Amino acid sequence: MEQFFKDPSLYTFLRGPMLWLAFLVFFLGIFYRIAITLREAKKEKIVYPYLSLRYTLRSLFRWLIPYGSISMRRHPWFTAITFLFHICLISVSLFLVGHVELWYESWKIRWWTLPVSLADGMTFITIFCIILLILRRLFQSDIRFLTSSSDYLILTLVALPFITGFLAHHELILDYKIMLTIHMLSGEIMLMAIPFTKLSHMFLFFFTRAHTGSEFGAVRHSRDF
Amino acid sequence: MEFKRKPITDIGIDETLKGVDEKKIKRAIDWVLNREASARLKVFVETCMRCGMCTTSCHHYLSHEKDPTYAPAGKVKQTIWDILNKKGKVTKEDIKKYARIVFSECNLCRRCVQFCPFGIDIAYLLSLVRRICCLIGAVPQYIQDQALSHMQTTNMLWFRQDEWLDTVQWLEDELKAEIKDAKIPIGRKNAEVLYLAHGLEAKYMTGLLTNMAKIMNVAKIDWTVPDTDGWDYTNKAFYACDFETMGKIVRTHYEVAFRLNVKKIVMGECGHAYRTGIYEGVRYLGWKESPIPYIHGVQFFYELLKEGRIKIAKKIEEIVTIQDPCNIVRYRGMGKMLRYIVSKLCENIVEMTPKDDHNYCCSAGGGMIDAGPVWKSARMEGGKIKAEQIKNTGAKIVIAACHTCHKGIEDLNEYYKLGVHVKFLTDLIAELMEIPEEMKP
Amino acid sequence: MTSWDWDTKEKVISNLKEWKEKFNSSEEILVSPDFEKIVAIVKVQEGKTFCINGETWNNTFERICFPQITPLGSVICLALRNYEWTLAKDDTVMEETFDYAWNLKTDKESKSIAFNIKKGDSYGVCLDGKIWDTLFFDARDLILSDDGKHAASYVRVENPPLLDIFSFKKGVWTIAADGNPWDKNFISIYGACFSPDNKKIAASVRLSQQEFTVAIDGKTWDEIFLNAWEPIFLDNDNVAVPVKREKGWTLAINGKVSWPYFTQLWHQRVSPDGRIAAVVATEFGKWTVALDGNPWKETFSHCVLPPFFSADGKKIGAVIRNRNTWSVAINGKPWDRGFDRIWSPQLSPDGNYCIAKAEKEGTYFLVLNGKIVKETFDMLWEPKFSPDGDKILFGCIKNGKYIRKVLSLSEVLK
Repeated sequence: MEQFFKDPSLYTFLRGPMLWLAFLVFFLGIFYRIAITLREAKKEKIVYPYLSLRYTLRSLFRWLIPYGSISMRRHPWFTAITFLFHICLISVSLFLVGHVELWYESWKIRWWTLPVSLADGMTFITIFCIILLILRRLFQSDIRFLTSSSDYLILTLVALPFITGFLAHHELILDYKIMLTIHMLSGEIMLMAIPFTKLSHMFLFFFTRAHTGSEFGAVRHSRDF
Repeated sequence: MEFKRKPITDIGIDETLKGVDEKKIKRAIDWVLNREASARLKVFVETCMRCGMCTTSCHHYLSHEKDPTYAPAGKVKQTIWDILNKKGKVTKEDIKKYARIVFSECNLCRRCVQFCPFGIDIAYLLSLVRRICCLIGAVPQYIQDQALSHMQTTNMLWFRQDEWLDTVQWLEDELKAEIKDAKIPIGRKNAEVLYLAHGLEAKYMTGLLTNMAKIMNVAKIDWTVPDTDGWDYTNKAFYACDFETMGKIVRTHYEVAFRLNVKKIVMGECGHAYRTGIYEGVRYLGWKESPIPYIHGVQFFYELLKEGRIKIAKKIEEIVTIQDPCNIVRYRGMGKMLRYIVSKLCENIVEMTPKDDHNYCCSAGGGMIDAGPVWKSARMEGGKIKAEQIKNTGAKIVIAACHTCHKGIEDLNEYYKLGVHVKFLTDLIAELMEIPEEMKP
Repeated sequence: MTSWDWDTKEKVISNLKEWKEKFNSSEEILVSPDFEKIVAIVKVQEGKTFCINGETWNNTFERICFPQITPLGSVICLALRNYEWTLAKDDTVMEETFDYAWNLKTDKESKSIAFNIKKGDSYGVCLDGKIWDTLFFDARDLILSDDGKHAASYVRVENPPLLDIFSFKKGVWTIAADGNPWDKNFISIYGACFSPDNKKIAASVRLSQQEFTVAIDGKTWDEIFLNAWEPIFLDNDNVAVPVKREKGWTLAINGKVSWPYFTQLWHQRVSPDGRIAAVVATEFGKWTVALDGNPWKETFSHCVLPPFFSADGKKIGAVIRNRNTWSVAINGKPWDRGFDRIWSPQLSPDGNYCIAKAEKEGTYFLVLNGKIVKETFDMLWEPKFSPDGDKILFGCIKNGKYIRKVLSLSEVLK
């Protein structure tokens, strides 16, 4: 923030006020969406009375470990891609040295970081997975049938911070600072998009699984995995 | 990929739509999607990442040479997403297409839910479209006819009250030839068990009711059947998502049970009625679970065998396979009980793959068979994978503890020339059980 | 009731062991309201007949259905003889025969007897030996007025072929009172009842998929609801019915919503002091009784049966099912104990005591204000309070004998 007031530029803007805004939108957005969902779920009457912690956890466990469900075992390649993709995406966002440094600069807090070469590799994997996901959308008939332009847009939105981060780190194509600026901008846009686009599956996942897991386990005595 | 289908005319849908204007369609859509549906609709639509994990879970997709318009999410795209994209401003042609998809290409079996990483209840989303069709009135003629019968008579086939009583009485007389002093008590207060029958068992499939009565007599169950409306456990209104009628039917069943002061309701081998009797209908009325125990035939037989109240005299030696009805296995985990019973009745069991709660639907469920003859081809085509599954077991007998599975597989048997016999547990038990000497006439 | 014998402590009415030796089988055991008679359908050589306190009827039949003992103690039934159905009352048989007869009913004072009939392909009602002048394609259920002078039945007045959904959707059902159908047809009509003066009939009717209302003597209310259960007459002019609106279920009186909204609402009843009690679900899976719209604080998980009242209306009770056992709640307070089954509890005339027949694991016993009365029985019939409330009368089977018993309240309280 201070930097921006001392030296107002696009870079310091994105590094300061815009980042604040992005996180604010991200957290408030998630909070708002969850609150609305919980309220609407009450209107449905039949959601809350059947919720079961045990079967919610069973469901989450089965779907958060690789190949925990019959569905994942039937789709070994896709499961591998999505797990790698999600693991890399989350790890790099949270544990990249450069990201943690920024937190330290602003808040004097620091946590474990990924070795640079590993982070680099993971970034590459993330991008590679996105390409595979795009190819899958383009060439697998059932998924092509489901796909609309917004699905590509979302994938692009996720891909951009990784591509620009990767390029900036290796100082490719554009000047480091310009690339970094684009990187920050795209990252902030993605952050703000999470609560309001399909990326909200990041947190809604836990709610749908809780409902379906409880219905299948506690009520129907059968498996949802 | 395009939605390509052979044209089929169902006057319940086509004729009705002639008299419907687009305002009525919009009203029905707004009502169902904005008033009746809420969090689940929104969250399910939003969280679907279009990943395609559900695609190969669906027997319709597998049976239709991998045509994506038959995939679960594909069907949601062509209905719910389409309605949402068009903001409810849809044409009669659209409704016709939706009705075809939701009534003849989805059995509401919920297998896809087990394959979705988010646990999205796709069957629920498609049933919302059925509800919209119901409010417009665009429902397959045969389902509509049965629902209209249910509305007043509580039974599915316009049966008059005396026809039910008379049928039960002559069945009792017939049973006396096999069991000494056999009884089918009618409207007997304070019995332990209230037995409800399938509508068809009172007309075309009376043998099944007689066999159930035989088992009740041999097992010395203190039982009764209703002396009023409410004897038919079927609930065809549920297929049309006619919740008003569905609720009335389920309430009638429990009110009869309260009036006769029985301990529990026992029903025969039927899937959808069990589903409405313990979930759909009960929840519509505000009950969290059935107010008194509502026992499916499979559970009833399981308990009789476990407690030794009936004994099996001989076993079937031919190869037998087991159909897992979605509504009692995927919906109630009765796979183990079912297998226990079959193991008592049969020597050679060859299982289908996949089985138990991952089993494929018979392609007749969820109202597809009740949609009538015009939709039979859709049912036969969608059941191709089920037919192959049965063929691969090499079985000569398929045990189907559900009226719908039973008839559905009988039709598949004929269509795909599988050379099997489809059997109810009731018939097998009645045939194979020991009848004590003193009960023989 | 005042003329009944309230003094004999114990009367062995019949030895049922002897019946077993005498007859091949006996079924459908009934007892008279004053517990002086025990009746069973028995098999004799010629067919089936009644055995009343050990004495059999002269008439025998192929079948006996709907056996009943009227409030005045007559034994009535619908019976099959020579493949024709008829009515039998106290060993006399009605001359008229029918292709089928069912739903046998009597009024409270057992002045009249009515039942549904089939003649040829036509359906209707026979009331006190008189068959309706007009018969119909179908007649379902029988509603008898309190004075027994009028009978009604839901009738089908059109006969479209099966699968003609468009005709059925126009409505083919109406109600006929004394053979006269209303001039309006409905998709469905149900919950009919007579007004206290026996002059009017109210019923809930379904006009379309989501349009329900109440019709009184064929005239429908202007107000339309999303759904409706059975109406009742509050008095000769006012009708109350549970109806569904978008917010939930509520009670509508003469078409106007008069109660708050609930998740469910049915079995509304009027108390002797003019209040309305109904069974409601305050939330999903939470059942209780609401009085004039105010629910009891305590709710029950499984269900609540229709409320009943003390003579002054101050005590309101209901049979409840909570966590899978049956019990009774009075003025919102449930008994501590639960049972496998419980039968129509009776409140004493002053409302201070409530007695019921209950069952647990096959043995029967009396329960007074939630306390189990020690003596157990092989069978038991619903106990009654004496008019002064000091004594309890009931019938029971013990060691193969049917016994009529009178206990004083102090004995029961011991």
